[in-house]
Amino acid sequence: MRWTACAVLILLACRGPRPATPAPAERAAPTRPPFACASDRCVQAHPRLPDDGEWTCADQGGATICVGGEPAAGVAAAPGDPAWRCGRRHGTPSDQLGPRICVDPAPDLPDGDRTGWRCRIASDPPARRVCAREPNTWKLGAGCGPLHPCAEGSDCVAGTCALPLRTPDCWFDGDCPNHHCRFGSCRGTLP
Amino acid sequence: MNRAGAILLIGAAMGCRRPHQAAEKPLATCLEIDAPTAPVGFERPFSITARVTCAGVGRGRIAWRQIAGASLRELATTDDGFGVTGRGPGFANAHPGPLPWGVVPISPRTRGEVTLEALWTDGGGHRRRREVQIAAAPRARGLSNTAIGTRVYLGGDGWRLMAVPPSSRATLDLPPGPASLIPDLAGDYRLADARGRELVLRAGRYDEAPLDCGRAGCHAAITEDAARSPMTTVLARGLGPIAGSSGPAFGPDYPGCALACHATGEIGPSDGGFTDVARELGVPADRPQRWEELPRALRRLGGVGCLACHGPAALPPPTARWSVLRTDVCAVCHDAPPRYGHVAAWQATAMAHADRDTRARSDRGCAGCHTTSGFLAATGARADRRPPAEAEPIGITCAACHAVHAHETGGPPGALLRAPPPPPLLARITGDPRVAVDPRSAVCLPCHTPDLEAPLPSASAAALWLGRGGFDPASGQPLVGGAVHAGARGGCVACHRGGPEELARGAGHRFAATPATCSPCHTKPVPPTDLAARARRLWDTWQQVAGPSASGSAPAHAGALRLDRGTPLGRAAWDVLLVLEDPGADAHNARYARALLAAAEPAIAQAATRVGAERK
Repeated sequence: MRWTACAVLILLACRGPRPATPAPAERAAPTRPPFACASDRCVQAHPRLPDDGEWTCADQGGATICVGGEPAAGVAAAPGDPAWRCGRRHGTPSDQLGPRICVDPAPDLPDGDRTGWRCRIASDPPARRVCAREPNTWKLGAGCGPLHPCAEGSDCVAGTCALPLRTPDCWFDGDCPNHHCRFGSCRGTLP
Repeated sequence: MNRAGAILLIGAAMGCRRPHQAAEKPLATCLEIDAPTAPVGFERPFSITARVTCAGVGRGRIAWRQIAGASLRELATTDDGFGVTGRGPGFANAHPGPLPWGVVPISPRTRGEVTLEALWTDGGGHRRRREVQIAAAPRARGLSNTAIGTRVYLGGDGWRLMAVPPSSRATLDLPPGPASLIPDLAGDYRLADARGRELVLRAGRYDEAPLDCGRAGCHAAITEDAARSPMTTVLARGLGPIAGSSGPAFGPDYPGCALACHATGEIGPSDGGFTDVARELGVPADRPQRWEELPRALRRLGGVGCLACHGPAALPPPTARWSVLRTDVCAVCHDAPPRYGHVAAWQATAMAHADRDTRARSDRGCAGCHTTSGFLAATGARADRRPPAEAEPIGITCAACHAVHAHETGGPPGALLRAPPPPPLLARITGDPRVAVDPRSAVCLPCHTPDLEAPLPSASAAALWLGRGGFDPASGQPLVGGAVHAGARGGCVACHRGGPEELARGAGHRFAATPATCSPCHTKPVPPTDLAARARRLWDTWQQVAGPSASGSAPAHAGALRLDRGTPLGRAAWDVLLVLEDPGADAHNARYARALLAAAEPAIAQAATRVGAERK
């Protein structure tokens, strides 16, 4: 493992000249942190979060939803991670969780199998994303059709459950006028 | 010994030291050296191995020698120089002098750093030279909150480990040498010395410290300022492309060895710092990507942010927070002579020892200019959080003059100099655009200008320099003189910028005024004056008339004398003391100093005659 890491380091260090700075729209996402796996449990130290600030996160049906947004003190500015969609939290929450909501509809997974893992982000230090094998519960990316509807808040698109392109605006039901928050967005109707 | 990535890191470190060898680059990787990047420990053994990696060259041999640092004992080579063993330098060699109580501050200068030179020849005409640095100890700010995985040395006697976090297996390493400890888990380590005095070390990983310092009600203003501070942004700027180029703005080898001071954490220990996390993430620490492409965890550790100075883990207890004012905090980067000599130069100044007198530390009237916390409080920079009585003197430290949180201080750009409001005596002249006093002087003026409300004039250099502060003994009107040096570019540091020549950067923090600084304008050497002797004679006469001031060897302003400026004799004494309080009066403004003495002379002579007649 150590020698593998050394070899990766050397290979990365020996790569050719860097390309010119891409336009913002083409900007590469930050490097995906690796998972360390043992048996059916994988842990990703330093998981990707919306930006360099402080966040509290939870996974829901295969998407990761974060609330927070307090800027990181003493850190130079950088654009947010393009994988996340972000918006302002609805209303004026009285809690200390923060004013912004971000959703990553396709967060990092140990092997890319979107339906095979159940993950959570442990926000208490050290922040890490913990995934366990769980292939039998519904998640975004699952197949769908008339007999297999998607979970509320997601749409069936070309036979696969996906999140609609909405600007997130809630962390929990209490944020929404109709008390109905799904995948970080207030839903239009009461259940 | 942690060698992961050692080859790359050492290569980068060496790259910082031999830019002239760029032409040899095609063969640069022929010789790979695997040396410890983590501190090896004082008087602890270490080993280095080397190998030739290029085809078509002979293996040859490597000749090693030590070229810098405390002399290494037991340095030996094996296998034609492809193996090296040695033992780190002793603690006393690296860190001479008495140790402060508690966490011992350790800078690059005092960490037992040695540099070895490797000369490789293959016998067929190929030669290479490499430098390898070995350090005995990690750097330490001297704060009680510290990083796990990083050895902490303790000043004091009879240390005992009273309590550790649950599951911690940390133990105290006891003499020979100072006691030391490597915190292995986050939490509090409670220690007590032989007299029962307690020290609580708060340990944590850098990457686990929350950075929400700017929350409303906490440090919002500081956080906003710090976001644009050149310290905060140094790594981001350095990695940013130069206009028209894809290379890093600070050069193709950046950050290389600069990482030790342009990011948070030590190179080597598993402390959750930049290089440690880069290793965990598989990112080459010495050649990261552009700033915006770095993983979030690395950006939070890049640059000189909050934790780089304040340390990881929870804030120290309130009684220990003053210690962040010590120069030792800055010394972890700025005490690396001969390249960075700021601290070494400063240590030779009177300011470094301004609070060695107990009264100077404890008396509120003295503390405003003799202590860092007092100066910051007196100039409104922050609340007065003075060190406890048992703390060692710390001098007038970096934080007195430099506002490190700010991106803009109101003073000149770049050095983050504070710009406190001018003292009342000099408010008019420093605001006069015709005089054009350089704003870099602003931070010096409060403590080098007498307070007109004080019973005696003190530290009058700036007042004399600007031709202010005296009174006509007869009328009581201010004596205003010319200010021939007032417009000098740089202000005080136009002349007070001398320092040890061997220091590449920071030598000016010695603040010495050498004759060389006069030569651009004064083509002939300026002859010495009799101002000091004349002032001393007048002062002696005044004391014969009015009674001795009883200040002993201390300056008059430290004595109990109170001048009555309501009388001609009191005003004359004020003028004389203005000159005596400025050892550089003849250079600052000889003409004004002469005018002060000339004004004082008749009043003192007249009083002396009168008193003499009365005594007869």
